[in-house]
Amino acid sequence: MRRFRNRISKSLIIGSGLLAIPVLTAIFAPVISPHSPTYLDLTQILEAPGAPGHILGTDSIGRDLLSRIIFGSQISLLVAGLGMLGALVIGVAVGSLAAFTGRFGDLVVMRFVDVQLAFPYILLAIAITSAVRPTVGLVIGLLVLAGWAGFARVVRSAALQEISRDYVKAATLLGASRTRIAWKYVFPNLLPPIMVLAAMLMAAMVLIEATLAFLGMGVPPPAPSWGTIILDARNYLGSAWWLTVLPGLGILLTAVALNLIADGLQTLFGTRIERDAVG
Amino acid sequence: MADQSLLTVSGLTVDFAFAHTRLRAVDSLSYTLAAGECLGIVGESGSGKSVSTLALLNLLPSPGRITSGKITFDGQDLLSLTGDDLRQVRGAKIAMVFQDPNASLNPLFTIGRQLTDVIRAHWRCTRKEARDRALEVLSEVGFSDPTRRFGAYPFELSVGLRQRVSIAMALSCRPQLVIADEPTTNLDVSIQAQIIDLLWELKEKFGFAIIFISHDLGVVASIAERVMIMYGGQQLELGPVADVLNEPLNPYTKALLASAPTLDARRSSRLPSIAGAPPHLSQLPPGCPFSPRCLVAVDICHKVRPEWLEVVPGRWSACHVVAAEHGRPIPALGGRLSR
Amino acid sequence: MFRYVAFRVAQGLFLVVAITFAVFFILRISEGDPARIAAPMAANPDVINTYKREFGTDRPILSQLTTFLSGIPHGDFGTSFRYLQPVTSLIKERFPATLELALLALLLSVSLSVSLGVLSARRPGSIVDWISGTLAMFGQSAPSFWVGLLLVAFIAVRLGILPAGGNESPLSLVLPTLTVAVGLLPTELRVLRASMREVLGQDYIRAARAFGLPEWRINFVYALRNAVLPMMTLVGLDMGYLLGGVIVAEGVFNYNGIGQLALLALNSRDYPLIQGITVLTSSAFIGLNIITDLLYSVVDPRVRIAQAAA
Repeated sequence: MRRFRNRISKSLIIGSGLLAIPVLTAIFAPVISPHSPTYLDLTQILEAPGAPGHILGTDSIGRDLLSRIIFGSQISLLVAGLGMLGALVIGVAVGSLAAFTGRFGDLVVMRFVDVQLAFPYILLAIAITSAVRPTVGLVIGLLVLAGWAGFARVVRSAALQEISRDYVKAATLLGASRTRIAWKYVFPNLLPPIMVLAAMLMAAMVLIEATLAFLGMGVPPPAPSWGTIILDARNYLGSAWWLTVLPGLGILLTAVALNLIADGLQTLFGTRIERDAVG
Repeated sequence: MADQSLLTVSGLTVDFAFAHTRLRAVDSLSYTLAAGECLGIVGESGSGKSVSTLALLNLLPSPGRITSGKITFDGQDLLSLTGDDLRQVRGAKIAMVFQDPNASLNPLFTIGRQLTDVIRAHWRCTRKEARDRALEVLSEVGFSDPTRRFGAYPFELSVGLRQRVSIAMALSCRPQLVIADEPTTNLDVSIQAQIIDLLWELKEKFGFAIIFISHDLGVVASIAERVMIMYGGQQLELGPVADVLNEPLNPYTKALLASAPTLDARRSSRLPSIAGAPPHLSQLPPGCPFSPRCLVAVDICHKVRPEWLEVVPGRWSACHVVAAEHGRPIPALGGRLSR
Repeated sequence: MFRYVAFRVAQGLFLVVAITFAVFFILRISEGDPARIAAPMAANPDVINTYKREFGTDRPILSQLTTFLSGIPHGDFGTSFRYLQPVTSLIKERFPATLELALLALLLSVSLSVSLGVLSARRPGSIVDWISGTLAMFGQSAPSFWVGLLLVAFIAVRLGILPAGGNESPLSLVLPTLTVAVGLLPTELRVLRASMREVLGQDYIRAARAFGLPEWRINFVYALRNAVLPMMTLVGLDMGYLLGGVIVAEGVFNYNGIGQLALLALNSRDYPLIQGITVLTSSAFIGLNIITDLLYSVVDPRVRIAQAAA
């Protein structure tokens, strides 16, 4: 662990610091939020930021924007986080499978991965959402769909690289079984790229969740997902700009934090992962 | 005879400025080169031999910088050249042949294209004229059917052929000086001989000077007229090749020669090697760089840097012991060498 | 070489068929009934059944499938539930607009990333480098629909310079193109910067300089060709992302292209339309993928040998 100390970059520190903001907001939402996100006050609609009792203003049916943004962080982080974890589990499983089975298995599995990575994700999301009623579960499922292929590809190539290393050959010659080699030798070396990708994909998933919400495919109302807030404010774009700008800043902040962390982790671990593994 | 020289290097010093240290890769290098002459530069890795020639063309990789010195080529001060003037010297007046032909030819372009690009970079001519000239040069370096090979990619040629292409690119604009930086190190022995013969023939035919860099004394002996020995960024000996090899002056040169295997050595005798290891440039002693490993070093060798002296006409050396042996006074001690 | 092309085409066809079937069945196992959506609210069962007969959703699935499949060779993808027009003509109408937007955005992002990439690789740590880095981070972290909305809010509405949407004038392409390009820029830039930096450190670039080749030629002809290779792979992979970005942009700007069509179809459970769009786009896209693959061998001669051997 000591050798990692000098490689902690500015990105990692700044990113982690920035990420604390949405994370803490999400955890302490009920405590710090001035109002309930669903509380309507029809006497104070479309108030600009700075209005009494509503620091960031209100939306078209009088809901406090700050409260909605605060609770929105819960949704964004939770949904993106679960999506990322799901993608991680499935992707790592598939990737390891591809790496440890023979040539043929690898080829078949990776074909699926390639196809899925290459396909326009939004179209797939549209097709699926038009078939099934949108729920939180569906959104998380869509996110998993977006991310698993990236994990699979990265894990597979990292695993293959490790397998070809001499120490693995040595272990095989000494009689170690395949599973033992997998768990004891290869997996620990897969952790760094997995962690980096996890950060990267989580950032992407926050964005995807917001985009899906904006296009009407997100978590059903009245859940205050940041994307939904922006969708609701569509008609007031010119007049109530804060309803669009401020939640977007929340998304931006979270994504920047996660991307900085990903960059910092890359410097820390010395990995080099391409960012093309994201929908 | 400085006015007759094609190239005069005096006091060239090259430093590499890193984050926490500064390494002196070349320290006060001085020599001359006459037109059509072949000078060999011999030294181990890190001796500064390659860096000193890169400095001639201002091709030092960053963070390398020329800290001091003067380089005069054909009457021009090379270090003051910039931009287009510098570009005109590179390739057209002074050309370089690099060690690894794999790395010096761009894999994505045909050799014909790369050749013509070099030609057209220096001469205003039509594409056809450039192509003709390229074909001409290819046959000069030994391609029997240049037209067939013209559209070939580097990976389609053998290593020896690729090196010939590099030489062709170097010669295409009829330079006055060709710097060959370990051109044969990556080649098989048999091809080595071919390339060296080729270089010699071309030199005789076109009259350019050669600076031939190598760590291999034997290779240098077969082509160079004079040879300079470098160590730790400093020059230690310079003289006609036969003299230096048969009667070396400098202790380092002697040790180098002694460690080369010879045909007539007794089979059972061990090959003498020089004790110790080449110095890291950050750990050079204040005196002679070879002093830590030198068998005849005396006290002053470790402390005071030896002067570069012409101890015998035509033969230069930087060594206190050698200087004393040839009756030169040692300034620091006021004239006498004490053990 | 020909064998390789044939193999790729066959692979592509297989994929398209698989996708067609997948989409068909996914839609049919749905919850929402398009008849119910199209019919006026609280309509009685007879009206709904009429719709069903119109749409063909009252027939068993297999029979629906055969109808669908038999239409394809004729280019008939059925009739849209919502627009009551043949799907194919609807798509054909809007396709050029989407293509225009996609190509423009690709062009813009590639030229920007190439110039910024080359300049910042030449001078690491300079202002240009910093600008590219910040631009890349921003593009990576800001949702493209939000960027589009901001552009509409501040440039179109406040300043009134450019139209906020629609397809009327050529100017209405500007903001959507910008939005899509911003989404593509980060990855392209990153890849190009990294590979350019790597290439510039190579010996053959130093050799080129030693031979007196002019800097601009070294950078933009030699080094660029070497650096472009990973970029081409990226563009090939980026196609999917490009389409996604275009769909989102069309939604934001009310741009009348296929993306907009797809989004509207989504809301009305317009099966034929969704099917048609999915199948046609995925074919176009797989085709493009194959083309990019083949283009790769034009740029890199070493790949030609590998492909011929495959």
